[in-house]
Amino acid sequence: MTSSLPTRLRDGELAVDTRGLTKRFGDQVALNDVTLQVPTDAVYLLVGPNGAGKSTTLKVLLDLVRAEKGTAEVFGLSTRERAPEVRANVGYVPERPDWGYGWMRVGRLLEHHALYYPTWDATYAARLAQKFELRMDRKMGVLSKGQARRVHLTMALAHRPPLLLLDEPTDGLDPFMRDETLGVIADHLSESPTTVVLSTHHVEEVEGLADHIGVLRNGALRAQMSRDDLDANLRRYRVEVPDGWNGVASLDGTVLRRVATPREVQWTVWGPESEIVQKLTSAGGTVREVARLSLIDATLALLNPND
Amino acid sequence: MTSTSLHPTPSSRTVATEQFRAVGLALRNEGIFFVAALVVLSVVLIGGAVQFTHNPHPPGAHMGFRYGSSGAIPMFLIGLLAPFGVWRSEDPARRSYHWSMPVARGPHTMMKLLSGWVWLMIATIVYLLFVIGASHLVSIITAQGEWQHTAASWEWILAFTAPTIGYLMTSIPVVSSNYPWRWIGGVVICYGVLVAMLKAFGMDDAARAISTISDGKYGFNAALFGTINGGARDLTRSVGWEAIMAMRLGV
Repeated sequence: MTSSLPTRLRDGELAVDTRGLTKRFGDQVALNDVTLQVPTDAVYLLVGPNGAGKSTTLKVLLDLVRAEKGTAEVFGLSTRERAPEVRANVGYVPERPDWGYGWMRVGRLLEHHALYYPTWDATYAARLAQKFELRMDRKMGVLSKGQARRVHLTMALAHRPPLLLLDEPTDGLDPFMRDETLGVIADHLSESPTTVVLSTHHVEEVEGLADHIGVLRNGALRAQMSRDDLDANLRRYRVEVPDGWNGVASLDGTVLRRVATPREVQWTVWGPESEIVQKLTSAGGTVREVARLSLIDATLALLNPND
Repeated sequence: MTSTSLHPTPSSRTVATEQFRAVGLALRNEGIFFVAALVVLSVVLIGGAVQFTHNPHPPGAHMGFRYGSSGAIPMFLIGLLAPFGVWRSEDPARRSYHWSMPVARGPHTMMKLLSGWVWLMIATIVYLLFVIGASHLVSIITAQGEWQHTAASWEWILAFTAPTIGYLMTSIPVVSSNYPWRWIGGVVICYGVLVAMLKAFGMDDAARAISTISDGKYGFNAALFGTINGGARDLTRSVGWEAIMAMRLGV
């Protein structure tokens, strides 16, 4: 089946624009023709199972990994040819907790980091350190994953970059600190105009933040769209069907998920609601319920391999 | 183009200064150990000199502490090990923090390498000051006449060239490989095995030719210690000396 899911955004200024990124590690395809479009000031949620290529995509944007094919631009700057300028405008939280110098104390690492970013806001950094309860005298190497993540978030936010690349920013945090962190990110976005590309497995946490979504699976971008598009086009339909029903051929390619019981079928379908309802009804089904999906359910549907 | 107001990159001077400070911090423990070793050595030397003075000794007996070409060996060894401190916890697989900074990767790496070398040269100066000071002190305590050094100028230069060569030799695998010890050990073992095999198969000329890497006019021994063929001191064989002479002659 061919998918009818959107993989291109409509026109608009893009903060991140990649074209046909392809990267292999040995015989494993990490990225396969990925064209990522992140509008300026968007909070773009990048989702996918482990090994889908999310972290690799973020690393390509920082020129930490080089794609074999394709191009990537951040604010119109080639990530390959103008990497230092790109990195000056990015706040990065990596997936790995051992990022930074393990032998350095937290306070000294922040001082070190600040010197590389002329726009470092020391007052804001102090405020973040207080919120995240950072202990400046501890060495980075002895911090827990959650503590290291909080230091990384401070490093990423305190120079108020126009672009944030957050790779599992709440991973390793306890529920209280997770909530605090998401609050800090939300406050940051309201204070400073920032584009965010956020990769996380905890989709439900960022339901209120994300306004765009990109779905990666096996290194390929399966879909990307705005939340408005997602909300307008993705529905779950509960349909009562007669015995021996043959289904709806015209829905091929738009059905993301199908759960069947003897007399009832639940479909998660991409497309205009009225059109889908009409197709289901004319095929002999009786539509009993049409429901919107939460972001986590929508993500699971978009990731469904049965397409 | 973008309507977003973009942030500037840091100045090279700021980055170089910070790298120098950060590398100094990375090497702090080694530095403390180095100074402590010199202090211990000073105590041993002074103790020995005092004992020599107070205890009866045969006429003509002499106690002295002088710098010679082998005096560069400790600094050479320190130079060999220094890159491991400079790049601590930063093998290529874990170097993404260094690479993710807003500086071009090549110059950034060079700045860090250069910072390590500058600290190494500072340590060398401290070492030479210790040698001069300790030998002066020993000659005063033992009352063995006016203090003077017998080392030739080129032997003093070795104290700087030998650690520099050691530092560069080890920096290459440390910067480029996740397993620098394997490369260092592998190269040394391969070299030894190759020379031994050539000799075993009666290919003495080939063995001699290969051995020039260590013992030849421009071999490591000449470069590091001013010696060739296992000990004959020849100041004109010193790479450091040749460099100085070339500069003086404007070559």
